[in-house]
Amino acid sequence: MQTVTAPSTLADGKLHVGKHSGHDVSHKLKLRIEDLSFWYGEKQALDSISLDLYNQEVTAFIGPSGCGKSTLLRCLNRMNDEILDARMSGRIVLDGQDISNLMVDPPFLRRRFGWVAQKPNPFPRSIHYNIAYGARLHGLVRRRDETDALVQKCLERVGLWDEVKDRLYEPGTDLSGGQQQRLCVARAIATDPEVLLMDEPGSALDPIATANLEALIEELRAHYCIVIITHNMQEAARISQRAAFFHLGKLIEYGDTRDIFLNPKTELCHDYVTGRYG
Amino acid sequence: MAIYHAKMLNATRGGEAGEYPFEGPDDLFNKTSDQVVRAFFLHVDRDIFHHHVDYEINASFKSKEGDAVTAMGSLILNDQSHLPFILLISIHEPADP
Repeated sequence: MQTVTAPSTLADGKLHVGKHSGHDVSHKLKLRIEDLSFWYGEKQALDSISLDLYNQEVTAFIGPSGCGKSTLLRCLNRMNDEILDARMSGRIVLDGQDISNLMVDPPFLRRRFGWVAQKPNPFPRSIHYNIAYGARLHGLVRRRDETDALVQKCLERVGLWDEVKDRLYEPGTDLSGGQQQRLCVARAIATDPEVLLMDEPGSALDPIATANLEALIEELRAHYCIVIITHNMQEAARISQRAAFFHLGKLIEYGDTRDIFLNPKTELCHDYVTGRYG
Repeated sequence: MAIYHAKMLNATRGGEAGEYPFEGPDDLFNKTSDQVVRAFFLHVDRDIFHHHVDYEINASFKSKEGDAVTAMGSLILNDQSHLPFILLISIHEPADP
């Protein structure tokens, strides 16, 4: 494939790499994906993917629709296990443990992963219930005071406590879209996960809610390994330290976000991040 | 003081409109559309972000009846990237969808 050098200022002059872009070599390896392939029946969705994900970093998965980034995200917490006729080869290693092994119980594994979906999807129950449910299910809290403390801690961490502390028993679905998405992040961190998986979390939000969510992701980065799927190149450039570009199930480029956006090695990646192809 | 109702939409991608009720002077809608928008962003800085976030307004106008303002512009983040929006501000409570 032809190698191109992108100009430091991209074609439309509008793509800005955020001040937090660029990974830190001191961050510890959290998750290693080794030669991972995945099939839906006869159709191969992922082809020999290998990459490392690090603590205290946001890694952005980017690429056109159908390139396999959502499939890969769902492989990480074994959500694809339930799909009939699907099969996977390769290894996913979390802190040295092979979690792709069928001996690993997916529900226990999923406690180590928080999930935030594209559209805010709080349970149609109270704000308090939304956060307490997972933690109670996994036995992390038992007494009422423990549960209340956990709910407050999670809401404070996502910057929602002051806004909802007087209506904890009102439905989570009554909140605004941006508040609902922050509630979903609070729900995701309530089970004390190690990795946060986010599938286009800001795509359905207005700019104020998006800016708030991005600031939250930057704060959470200190405590988690975060993987985020986004179709918004500016967002990926703003919030991630590493980026992985996928195309037709293959990992085309992976590295420092600055390099991916300002000096991509492949013409395909260059065309994608500059908006010439997508 | 009176309560006003703002709705903001991502002008690039659409999606869901964020609803932001805010408090302002009773005579706010006697002022220009730009001043109405400025009152909304004062609320955003003070009560939502808790710090100043830049914005630019490309166009704003008031309805003939003088009870609604529409504005188009962008939030400008620290890295100077823009998040384009369409903003609707009304003296009326939003109707249920």
